[in-house]
Amino acid sequence: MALEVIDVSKSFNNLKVLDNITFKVKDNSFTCIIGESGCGKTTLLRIVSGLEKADSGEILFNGKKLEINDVGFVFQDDRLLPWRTTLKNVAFGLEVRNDKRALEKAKDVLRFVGLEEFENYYPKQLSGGMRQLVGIARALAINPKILLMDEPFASLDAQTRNRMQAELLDIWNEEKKTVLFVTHNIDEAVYLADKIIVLSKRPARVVEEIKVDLERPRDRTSLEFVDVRKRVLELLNK
Amino acid sequence: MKLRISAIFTFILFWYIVVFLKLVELPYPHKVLFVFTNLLFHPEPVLGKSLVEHATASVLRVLTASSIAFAVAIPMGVAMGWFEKFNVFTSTIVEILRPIPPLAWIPLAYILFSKLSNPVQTAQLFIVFIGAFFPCLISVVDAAKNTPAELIEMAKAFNADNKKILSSIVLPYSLQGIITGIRIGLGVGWMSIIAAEMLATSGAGLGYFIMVMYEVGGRIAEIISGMVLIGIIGYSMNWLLLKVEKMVMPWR
Repeated sequence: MALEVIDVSKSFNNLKVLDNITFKVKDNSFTCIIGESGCGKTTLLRIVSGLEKADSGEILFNGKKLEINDVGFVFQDDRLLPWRTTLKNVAFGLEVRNDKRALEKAKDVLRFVGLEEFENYYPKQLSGGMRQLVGIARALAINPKILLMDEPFASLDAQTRNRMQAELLDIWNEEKKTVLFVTHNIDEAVYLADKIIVLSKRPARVVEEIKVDLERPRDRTSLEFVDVRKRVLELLNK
Repeated sequence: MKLRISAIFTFILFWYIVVFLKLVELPYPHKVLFVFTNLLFHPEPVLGKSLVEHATASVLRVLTASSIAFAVAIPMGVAMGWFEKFNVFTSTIVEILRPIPPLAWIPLAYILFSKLSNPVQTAQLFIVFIGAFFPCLISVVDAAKNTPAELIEMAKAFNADNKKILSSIVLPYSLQGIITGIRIGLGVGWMSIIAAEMLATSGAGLGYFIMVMYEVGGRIAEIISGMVLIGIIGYSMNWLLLKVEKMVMPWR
């Protein structure tokens, strides 16, 4: 087991957001957390990353406390620095770690995600999908033990979103990272995940964990795919 | 461009009509132009200096005093925008001092620095400092304060410490405010020096030149020539800084 989330609870001003969340995630697996908007899934991800403290419970990675340095975070809004070029944006986390080869490594990652031609572009010159890809590259550059993604494709149009999902799977196939991916989009979860963790309405509890054993690349229109979708939808509407 | 040129022609035509109808006592534009071009490089007899020499003296004073003002205002502004407590502490004083026009400081400044070896110079630099300091400070504080919390959080997610957040997020984000602050501060500083020069013998300077030309008997063409140059220099400084802005912020 790579990641263990154990009995995590969190309230804001007496409003309970997370209620004893417990689940485990396998090494190098792709896990989606799905729940309705406002159910607390982003809070859960922030707690896992260390940006937010839980009221109780703990987060372990291979038995040890997960450090913020082990985490690569991808945000819903790209959060690129507008005054930095693509290359410098990707190098940000490496700079924080005082890596002398920051630019070299950033270049490698850009080549890996297929954006090397755009290394000297500023964020405003890139499309929304490309900006998210730069955000992913920035998270990958620090070679994190776990990749946390907070609805990274939510603001993209449907076609770009589908394309980005396929690209993300390509990246994940080669890098084999443990990924924790938050979404409210059922189709996205079924397309991407090895395992879907379904959260209830607020306060969020784990309703069920669904294993998705479909072969990749998945056909969004296949019967099996639709079956899983149906299952998730039923659980969300409970 | 066409509109701009016709605006200038309209203005000059208006000037000719006003003088022709003797509505006010003014020399014709071509007379001013003659005096202006003549005095630009040739010394004017009363003070023995050309307009360029006077302008250089004024510009140097403004650049010296404004540089000092910016060197204090920029780090202070970033700090105020970043540390809320420091902001509350400092802005209490700043907000009281800020509405006092630089010109109101002139008498006090001349008294404060009267014991120094060059009281006039020092007082004038001080007045420009006051003029340039506050607009720059306010602009920088505003910019630094508005640094998006999302970007700061992003940096924290990558485990950046406060030093890194300040240098890589807050400071670059404030650059727009810094440059705007420098532009406005320099503008106010330029107005302040002209006024400060009018009140004391400084030997050279455009404000001093205009005042002396008035005192020796209302030499209108000379006075207007001085004013025109003040306008041209103020305009050029603003224009130059707008260009610099585009150069140092290619991402916009």
